[in-house]
Amino acid sequence: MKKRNTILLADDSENDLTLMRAGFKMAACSLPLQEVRNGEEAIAYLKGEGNYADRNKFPLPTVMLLDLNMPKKNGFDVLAWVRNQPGLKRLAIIVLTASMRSEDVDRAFDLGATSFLVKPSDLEDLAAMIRCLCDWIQINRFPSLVEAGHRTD
Amino acid sequence: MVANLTSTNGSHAPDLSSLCLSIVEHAPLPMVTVEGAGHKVRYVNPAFCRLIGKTKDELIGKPFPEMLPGNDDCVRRLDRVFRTGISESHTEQEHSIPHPVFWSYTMWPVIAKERPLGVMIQVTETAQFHEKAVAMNEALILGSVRQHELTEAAGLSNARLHEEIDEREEVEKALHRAQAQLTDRAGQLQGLVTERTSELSATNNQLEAFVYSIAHDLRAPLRAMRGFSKMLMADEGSTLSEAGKDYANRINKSAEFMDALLCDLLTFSRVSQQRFELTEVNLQTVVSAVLARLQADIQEKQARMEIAGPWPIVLAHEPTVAQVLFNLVSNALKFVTPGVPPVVRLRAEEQGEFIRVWVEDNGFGISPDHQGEIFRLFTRLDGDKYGGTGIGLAIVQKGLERMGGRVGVESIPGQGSRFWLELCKAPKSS
Repeated sequence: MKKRNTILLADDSENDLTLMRAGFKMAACSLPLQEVRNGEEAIAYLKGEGNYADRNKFPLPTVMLLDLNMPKKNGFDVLAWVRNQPGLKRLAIIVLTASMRSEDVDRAFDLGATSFLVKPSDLEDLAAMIRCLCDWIQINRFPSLVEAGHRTD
Repeated sequence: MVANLTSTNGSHAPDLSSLCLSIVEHAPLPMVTVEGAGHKVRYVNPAFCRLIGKTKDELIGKPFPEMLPGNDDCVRRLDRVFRTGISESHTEQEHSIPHPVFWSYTMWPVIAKERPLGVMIQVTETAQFHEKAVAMNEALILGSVRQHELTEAAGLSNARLHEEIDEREEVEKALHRAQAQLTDRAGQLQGLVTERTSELSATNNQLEAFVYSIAHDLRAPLRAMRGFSKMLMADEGSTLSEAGKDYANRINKSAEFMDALLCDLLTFSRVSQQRFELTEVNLQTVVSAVLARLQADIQEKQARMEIAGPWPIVLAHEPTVAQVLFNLVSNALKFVTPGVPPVVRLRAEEQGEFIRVWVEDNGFGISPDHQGEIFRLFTRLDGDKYGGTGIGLAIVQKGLERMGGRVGVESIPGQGSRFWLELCKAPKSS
């Protein structure tokens, strides 16, 4: 049976996570969302460690939406770590941040980001962005990811 | 000096006599031996023959005085040497030829068996002897005088040279000192510049970090305010009173305006501080990009855009000139009397070394009293009626200032405004 595309949200801002959920609702995007609060949690989730050991409850994501400014390992650390994991390195990672600095854009792409999006201030703009993202996920072909000797696709 | 001449009757050791004869025979000095009181020539050496210009045979047996016509003085001396046996020297001048010749005679007796047998004569011709001697003397005197003068002059000039060398050394020393001081000062200045640059760079980095923190940290709560006030109106609108909806709306609008202010401030800060170099920018590209960005606004307001080419190449920073033009056109679309469709005209013209771009509108214009202040930060002539932040034209002026350009406005209230900006013309490409 084909699994549904899970989206992993990594963001430390409770407000932004709430707005994202509202945005997904407004965009009528029903893809399952998973949330982590910092870089360390993101890595634990991807490794399937600790609280995230149950892959039925916490499946490997198809796409990760990654904030840059987070405590305990920031977004750049997570990007660098993922690209060094043989089984996970192809994971689609979309940076979603408040930063508009071109240095951050360049650095993110240097570290292997799939895309770079700036958080819209307007809720309707956010909903429009999420609609785009869901459409993109529907038409995109994703690579296979392998973890701890298991094949997941 | 006495010579034992080998003669026909001489019977000394043959070795020595033949040796003596050989010496006389091959001497480079003309020599002749005369015999008896008549001074008959008994012997001549080849040098004498060469001097007289005659052969040995022509001379032997002839009396010597015949060879010296009119030279009684010499003959007298010859007689005396023969008589007394005492040698003599004599120099005399011959005037018979154009260039006087001096003849020098040295005569000494030839002794045989303790009585004079004859006389040996050695003759030397010295051409212009006296004059040469005098001339040489004069030359010597002149030479020594000249040498004296030269020595004195050399001494003087040496002294001057020493003075000059001393002076030059002084100057050189002073120069070295000045140079060392300069190098010192330059080093200090360089150090100061490096120090200040690193201080400035640190300050700049702090400022950039601060600006980034404004962008990130201040905008995050604003995003929440905007988002949640919207959600309040959308999701809970049915349970809110009209006043409640109004309050939520005011929160939303204020947060929106603050976000706009923050965005404009960030742009102003970027335009002010961004390091860039001027490059050739095609205004056609910039105008097209700006119109594309404003397309929704243009359509919504049913504005008429009149774009008059051609667009020249200018020296500018493309993102900054795009920002400047965006702000001017966006203002032209914004500040119109409600209900009147905007008409915006864009054109470029050459002004010497500059390209002047006109942005003309049919808006309500700006009174002359206010035309000077509109480029200042936070100047809003119409309050918050049109949603302006008062930063847009300050960005325009700062941007042009950074690109070595200028901006200005001509306006009659009620008849629209004509904003112009000037940028350097790009040099003709070869």
